[in-house]
Amino acid sequence: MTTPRPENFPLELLAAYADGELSTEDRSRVECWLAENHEALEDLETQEAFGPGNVDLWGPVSPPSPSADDWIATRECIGRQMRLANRVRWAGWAGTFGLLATAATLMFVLPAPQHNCVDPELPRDCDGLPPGSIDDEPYPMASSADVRIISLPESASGLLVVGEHPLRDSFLSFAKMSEVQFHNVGTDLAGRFPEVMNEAADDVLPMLWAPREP
Amino acid sequence: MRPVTAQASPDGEDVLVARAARGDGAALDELFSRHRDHAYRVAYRLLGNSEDALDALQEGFIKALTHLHGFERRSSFKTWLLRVVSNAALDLGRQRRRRERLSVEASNRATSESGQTPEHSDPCREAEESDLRSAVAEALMMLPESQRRTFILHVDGGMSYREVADTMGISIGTVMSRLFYARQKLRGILASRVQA
Repeated sequence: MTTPRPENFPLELLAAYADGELSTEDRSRVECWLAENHEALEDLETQEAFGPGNVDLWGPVSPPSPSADDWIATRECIGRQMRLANRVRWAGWAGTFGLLATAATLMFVLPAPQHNCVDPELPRDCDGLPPGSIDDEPYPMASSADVRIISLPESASGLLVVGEHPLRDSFLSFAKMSEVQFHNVGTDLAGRFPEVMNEAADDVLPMLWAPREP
Repeated sequence: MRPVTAQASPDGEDVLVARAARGDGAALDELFSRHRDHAYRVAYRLLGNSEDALDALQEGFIKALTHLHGFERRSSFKTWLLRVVSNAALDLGRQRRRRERLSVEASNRATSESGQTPEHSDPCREAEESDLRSAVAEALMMLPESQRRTFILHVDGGMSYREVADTMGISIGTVMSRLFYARQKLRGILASRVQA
């Protein structure tokens, strides 16, 4: 039975009191209140009885420990899955890199395409755009307010950070995470790694973080 | 193979995690031995049997290490891991709902299969403990999922209120409230079994 909720005193504090999660000031507050409200002692006892400190209750009902063989098998399975995940990731990136390299080679080898959209008689693909707009207008670029940084190590100067595509809802798309291969990602002086996406996410791409000019 | 002992402090866990994610077996060993017990206990309480708990633990470890972009490093890797493991356990529990009725039997079977025998050999006491374990498991299953998860993360995951709050994305006040009412309900359910 829960004691009726008193005015200006949250009974939930009894849980935190029983678990030792309150500050000294709040503990004193609870103790003063309990001294005048003995009926709440039963609730406090309940909180203590079902708290993690009650080894008489939780000891006997502890989950049965897996055998040593079960632990080893589980650990080995995790290791296998991790190796597989890493192989798949690197294979995907290597394949993507190969495609990008091929595309880059073709760009140099093949002649540049003619721009047809400067003519007032616009082709169908350019319907809706004003004459001369293609290649003449600057692309809108994101301001710092448009960029959402997903990961940024504390000492990020010169490191790689990962952010959300600032124009992902727009028409401009440079590359997806799955289209980028990292050749070398290292730690900073404190030995910390920058966040590097482990799996390709379509709407997330890496960004280079350059140190700010002093 | 690089040594991991130098990174054994909690301060170096970020590096350890990054190495494990890249397939460093020694780093994975260290992380696994650090966190497996709490992760297993949480999964077991949410699922009610050892076999499923190990499945959830395995899936949770893999997901936690391969989805590090979701780990914002505002809290510890343990917090991130238990979040993923508890999610995996709840998903598994939903998929295998039909097993819930058998959880009591599975729990008892797991004890005998594991080869773990209690220090005492009093059959009456063993039976009492098994009975109490079943009663606690059933009582936990009667709590709303949010309360149950909060309670289990705190009691079996060994987490502080702050860690539970970070794991579940809720405020400390909500943690406090859920724990208070979860315990009040457990007392109502287990009144005859537990001396308050």
